[in-house]
Amino acid sequence: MIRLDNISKAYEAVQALSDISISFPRSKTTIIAGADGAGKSTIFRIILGLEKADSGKIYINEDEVRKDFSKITRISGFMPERFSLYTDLTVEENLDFFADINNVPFKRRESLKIRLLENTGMINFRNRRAGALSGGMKQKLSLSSILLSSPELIFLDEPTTGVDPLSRIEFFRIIDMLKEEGKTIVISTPYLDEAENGDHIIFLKNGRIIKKGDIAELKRNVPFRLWRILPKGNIFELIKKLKGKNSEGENFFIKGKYLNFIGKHGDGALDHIDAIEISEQKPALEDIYMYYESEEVKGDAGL
Amino acid sequence: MKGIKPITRKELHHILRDPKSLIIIFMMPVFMVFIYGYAISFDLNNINIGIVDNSGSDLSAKLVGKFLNNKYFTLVGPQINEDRSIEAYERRLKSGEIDEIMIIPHDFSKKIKNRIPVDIGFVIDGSDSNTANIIYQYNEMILFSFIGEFQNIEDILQIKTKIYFNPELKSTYFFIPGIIAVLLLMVSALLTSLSISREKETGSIDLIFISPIKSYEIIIGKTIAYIFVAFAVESIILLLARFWFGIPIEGNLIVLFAFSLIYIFTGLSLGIVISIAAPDQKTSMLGTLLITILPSIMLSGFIFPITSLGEVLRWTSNIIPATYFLKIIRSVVLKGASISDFLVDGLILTLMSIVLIFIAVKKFSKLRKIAG
Repeated sequence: MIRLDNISKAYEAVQALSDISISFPRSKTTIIAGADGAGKSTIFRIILGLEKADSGKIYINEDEVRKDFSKITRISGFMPERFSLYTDLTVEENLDFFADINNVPFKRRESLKIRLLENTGMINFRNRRAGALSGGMKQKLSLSSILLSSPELIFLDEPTTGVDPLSRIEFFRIIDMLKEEGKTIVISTPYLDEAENGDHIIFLKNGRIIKKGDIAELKRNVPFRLWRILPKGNIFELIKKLKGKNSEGENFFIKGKYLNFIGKHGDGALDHIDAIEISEQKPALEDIYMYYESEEVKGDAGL
Repeated sequence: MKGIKPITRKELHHILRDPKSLIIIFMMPVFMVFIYGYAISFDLNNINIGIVDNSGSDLSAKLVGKFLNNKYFTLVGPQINEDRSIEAYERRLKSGEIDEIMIIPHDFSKKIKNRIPVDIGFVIDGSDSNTANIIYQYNEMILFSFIGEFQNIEDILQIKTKIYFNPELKSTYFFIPGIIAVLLLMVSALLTSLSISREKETGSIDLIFISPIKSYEIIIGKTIAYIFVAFAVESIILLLARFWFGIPIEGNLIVLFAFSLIYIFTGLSLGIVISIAAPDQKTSMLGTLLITILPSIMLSGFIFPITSLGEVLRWTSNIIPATYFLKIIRSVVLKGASISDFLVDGLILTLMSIVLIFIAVKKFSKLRKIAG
């Protein structure tokens, strides 16, 4: 199991990570969720030894990793956010190359390659140049290239950013298969609907952890209630009205044509509001993130 | 017309926000202006001359003095009269140690005194056709000055000049081997610098770095592939030189390719070092062109003889790999020289290559933060 202990990293004046302490439970899927610039990719790069942390420690199975990151990389597969395979090589040439540099024995590679190409629906595209693949296919190829070396740990950095919805569904189907095989998977994503696919979650903001834990447990123990409001008039007028009340522990955000209202003390704040519909909802991860994110903002502002 | 302003403003932002490229773009012309303005002249100052004075007379000593007591000629080789063997001087000419030989006949003094026409022989290294032409003119100038001191003997001194290695003083003989030296360094450096900076830009290098492959394996793997490309470039130019331009290749091609390999390694290593320092492909390309082409053309002796450079640039030419490879390729192709004729240049080039490979591996390993 990989464990990070008080990891900090700054790029000149920008503090990318501040005192990050996390671990990735074995055979579970951990989601690192946060907006762009939250520090998601930096965590991966530090774990894999591609960047050096300014302070803090990294452990693998309770052994501290100081210089020899091959202890981690030899059991890991990493899929960067950007498509990093060779666009001028074919699908199969890319797979062969990454199998070669990862010392995958030829016999095992050939059967595994065919299985991966079949499972990802790319068998008919094996001779196509990677640069000519669609966004979703490129991501599946990237994933296949790391699966060839059968890693125990899989790090996926925003694997579905810029990928069409169908391909995203397809991609997570493959992730489910990997979960069933007992792989430890870490996925970073800015999309909180995708985060629902995980077992554990780490909410990251500006390089700091704002909340982490078991997803099911987080959902069971939400410290707030959520109402969905369909306003009768202009949604922004409603926001203005609610802002004027400025009650502690209350927050709201637009979701489509609805306004999601987060409150700690019941729905008193919603009295006398012109709405077509007000209904209490079970919070999703997105609502939980919004709650802790707003708490963090208030903390930052000294409220 | 309203659209011009935002486009211009945007372009200016692009220019100003890429300071590294901007520095390179400004450095190139500034560098060239200084080189042309102060450092390069077409005057030759240090023509290395070997003198065979078979006459050994006061008059011949006076003529030798005319050649040596000016800023143009420097005597190389044994003291006058001690070595009368022209063959020994020819070997020096082949190795590039001297640029010309002056041969004074044994009856020089007697014939002058008796007003009988006498031949003064010159053998000039024609592998650098520009330099050879200038040397020829200097010879004439000094001989006229010498003869001018006597009365009524203007027509009796006859200059007999022999041009070795490029008898017709064709500039293509001079330029084509030179262009191989310039292009080979540029192409090989460009190949690795673009390859690595592209992988840095796309993130592919990270995937290679986290694999078990060793840093030296990455470098060797890349260089082997690019050595073939560089050799192909060299072969094409050599074939064109031989069959299109009719330049005779006098020396041993195996020797030439062996030293080319060392030179290519120098270029490939240089490319690796540049790509590691450059943040992106564009800067890497501009940097490579600036570092390889400009010094190789201006300071290696490709166009301007090194002796005509200012002192600082003459010293700078010593750290330019093309300076040494240029001597080797011209020696092999035009003079048919063997390794012993350019041993020192070959050793310096090899040493440069080893140092650059070492720096490239070190820099590359540093770029790869994980232990390889």
